[in-house]
Amino acid sequence: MSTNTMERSRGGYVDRPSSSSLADVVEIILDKGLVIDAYVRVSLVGIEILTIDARIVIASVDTYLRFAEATNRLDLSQQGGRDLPELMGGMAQDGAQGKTKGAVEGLKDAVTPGSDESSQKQEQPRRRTKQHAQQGSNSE
Amino acid sequence: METDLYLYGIVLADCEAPSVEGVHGHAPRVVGSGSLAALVSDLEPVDALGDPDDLVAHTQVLDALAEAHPVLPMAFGTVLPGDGDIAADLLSPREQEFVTALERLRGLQQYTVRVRFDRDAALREILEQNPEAMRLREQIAGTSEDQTRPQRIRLGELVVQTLEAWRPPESESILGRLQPTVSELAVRSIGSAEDVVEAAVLVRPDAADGFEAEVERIAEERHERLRFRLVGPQAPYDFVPQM
Repeated sequence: MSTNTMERSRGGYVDRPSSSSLADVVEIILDKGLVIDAYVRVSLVGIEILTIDARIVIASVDTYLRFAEATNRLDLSQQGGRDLPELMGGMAQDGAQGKTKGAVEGLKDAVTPGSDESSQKQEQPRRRTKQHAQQGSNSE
Repeated sequence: METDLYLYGIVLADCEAPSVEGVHGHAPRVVGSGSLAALVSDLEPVDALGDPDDLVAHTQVLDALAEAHPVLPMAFGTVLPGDGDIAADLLSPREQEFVTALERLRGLQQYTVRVRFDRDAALREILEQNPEAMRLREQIAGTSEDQTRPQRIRLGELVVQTLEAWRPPESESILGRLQPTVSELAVRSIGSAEDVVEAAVLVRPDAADGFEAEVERIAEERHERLRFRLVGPQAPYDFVPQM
């Protein structure tokens, strides 16, 4: 939306979106922003779904199994952390320098409007829900 | 004025509403009182407020506004009843607090830096270093999850433990280098094993280039193991006062 930010994206190693994706702003649901409980009624039907889906427990069996499967699928014939085609996605054009921007692109897809629950389940970017969308009242 | 109002944030009275579509497609506008104003848009009675489109609209309005004006973003999903009085209910009771907080934010913009481990690079490194991990990987190869569940859990646990050991030094080093380039820094808690650090920072416009260049330098130095994502400028979501 802001041409301003688009002009700024110049880095080779930093994923620098011109506007925030949903995953970038999910944090804002969780516990950011001014809360004035006295006079403000809050309506948050629907948010629960998003935050529950976003929840993760790092040290969980599910997490372990996910990493084990990722390890299982890893192609060890490719050495080193650079020039990984599977990370490059569609951004491989200027990959000669080992630039791997776009590596976090899974982020964008993880919580995308309309995508179904099962597809949201498998990939990484989960956010915590410190307090899930109980809004309105407490500001820790 | 029976319709409810969706409330994006509190601004100073001289603020103009951004020309961006707001929640449920309604144009945001500024409703003022004294030295303050509220940025709102109409909201018909709805069953569900809070789907992903609403969140994106909320942040787009605030981010567009924050390019030119200080703003105190409200918590997402804040609605003023149609029969309420913005001046009397919202703005006047805390006018001085709001003005002080807005003045403190004047000229500053938030960015969010998110750093994650490159998963496959990290897994390769772990397999190279850790013979047990390599052995477990060989054991689960070609098997189903049911057949080798204990081995898989152990392998995953080794991976997560290793990432947890790598995280603090990486995180401290990154934050230590960003600190001098920003006005304020707030570290968010992380949400997944691949996360290294996530921080929101406030930056002066004249320092923005230096800040971004430093992020780029660190990302280049650490690119074999880490992935950096930088979002902003955006509204100062992480820097509103507790009230």
